Amino acid sequence: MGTVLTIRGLSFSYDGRRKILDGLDLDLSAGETLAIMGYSGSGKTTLLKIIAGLLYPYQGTVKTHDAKGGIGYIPQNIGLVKNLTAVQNVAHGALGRIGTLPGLIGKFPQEVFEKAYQLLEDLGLAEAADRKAGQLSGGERQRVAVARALMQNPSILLADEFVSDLDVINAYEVMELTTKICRRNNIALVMTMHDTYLVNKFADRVAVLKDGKIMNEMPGNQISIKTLSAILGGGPVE
Amino acid sequence: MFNLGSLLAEMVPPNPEVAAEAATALAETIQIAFVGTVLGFVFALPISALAMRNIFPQTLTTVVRAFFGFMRTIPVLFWAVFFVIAVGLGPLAGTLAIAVYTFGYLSKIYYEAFEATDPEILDAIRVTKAPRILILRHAIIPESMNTIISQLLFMFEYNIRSSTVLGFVGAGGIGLLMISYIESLQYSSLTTALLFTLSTVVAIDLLSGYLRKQFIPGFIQKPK
Repeated sequence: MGTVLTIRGLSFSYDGRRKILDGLDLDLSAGETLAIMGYSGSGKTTLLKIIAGLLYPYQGTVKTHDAKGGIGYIPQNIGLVKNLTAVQNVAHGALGRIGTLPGLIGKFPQEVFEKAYQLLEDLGLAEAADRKAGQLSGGERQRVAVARALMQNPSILLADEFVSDLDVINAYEVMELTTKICRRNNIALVMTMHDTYLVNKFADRVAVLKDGKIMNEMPGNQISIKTLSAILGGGPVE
Repeated sequence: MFNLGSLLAEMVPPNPEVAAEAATALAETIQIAFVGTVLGFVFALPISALAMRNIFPQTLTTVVRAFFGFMRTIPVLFWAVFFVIAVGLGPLAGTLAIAVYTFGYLSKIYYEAFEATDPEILDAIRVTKAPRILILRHAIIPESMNTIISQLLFMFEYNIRSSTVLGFVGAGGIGLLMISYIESLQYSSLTTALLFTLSTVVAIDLLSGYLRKQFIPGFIQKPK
């Protein structure tokens, strides 16, 4: 698998004093599912936003290597427009490529909506496609956000704690569908997580973030609460 | 007190013979308010976005906000005097005064609503490399639609009231008629004009309430 993302010496501070990220290095391969774990406030969301190009300036280098694909991003609180339907929200994923004038008059190409409906069907939301986002359940909104990110044909999909607000069944279903679609399309998935069970089940690799750096990496099926506590607490990893 | 009693005695009963004249003047007032509100809104909606600090640079937003503040600070009656001098007596001056004031007021309300858009909506769409104008068109404006419609209706109700007095400075509508009745001591005719105005304002308020229920998403309905 080729490398799609290389990060070297990444440092970032919001206020110019305390570094949230401090010399972080990370590599990501095409089609890989990487989970990033760490304490709340450790910089997981910051890392994702920097990779997505939403936060700057920073020190160090962040390079993406696949020129064809973009970066899809699922924010922590989903970020759907409540007054628009599910399919309209998904179509937003194509706003960067439909042209300014067609976009201003609302003339999306037919294939955009065809793909949007198809993605919603793949994610089990065919019947909810024309319902307003504000009327959807939490699990349905998560799937719409996944579909919106996939609309960009990304080579990297970034998901920030995107199942943390769901019940266990919905969380499992959303994770299963998302990782399946990403693996099928060779999309690298980077997700910040707190749930070691889901990481075990779905992640190829897990990276633990502490003190602004990646402290430890291991295969996803080897992480446990005990191991994570040991890493974050500074103790020996069993 | 004696003068007040004497005035009230002359104001009742209302004079029915001027009803048609008052109705015509009131129709002109409503037109002034409606056209002025629409004009102000059409310009406020896109231009207010230029004041968004989370989208545009501070140099631009500072200048734009100062401009809106200037438009809004000057009372609508002063704008009416200005336009009467600029374009002459009549409803055009009134319409322009309403439009300018509406533009200044709505622009501030709208850019504040736009800035309050959930930043995660903006983040999710920014990564698509969509131009800022499309982010405004497809995300910020739909997300702010409740505020947009609600404040537009409020502004129209407010402008109906404003328009009734613009005629006092020659800017058309029923205010001009009222001034002529006062100056010619036709107080019962003034009462007729006032009653027509009051009825219209109440009717507009009721219509506005109905429109809010129908078109503003999430409007809370009483349980049946």
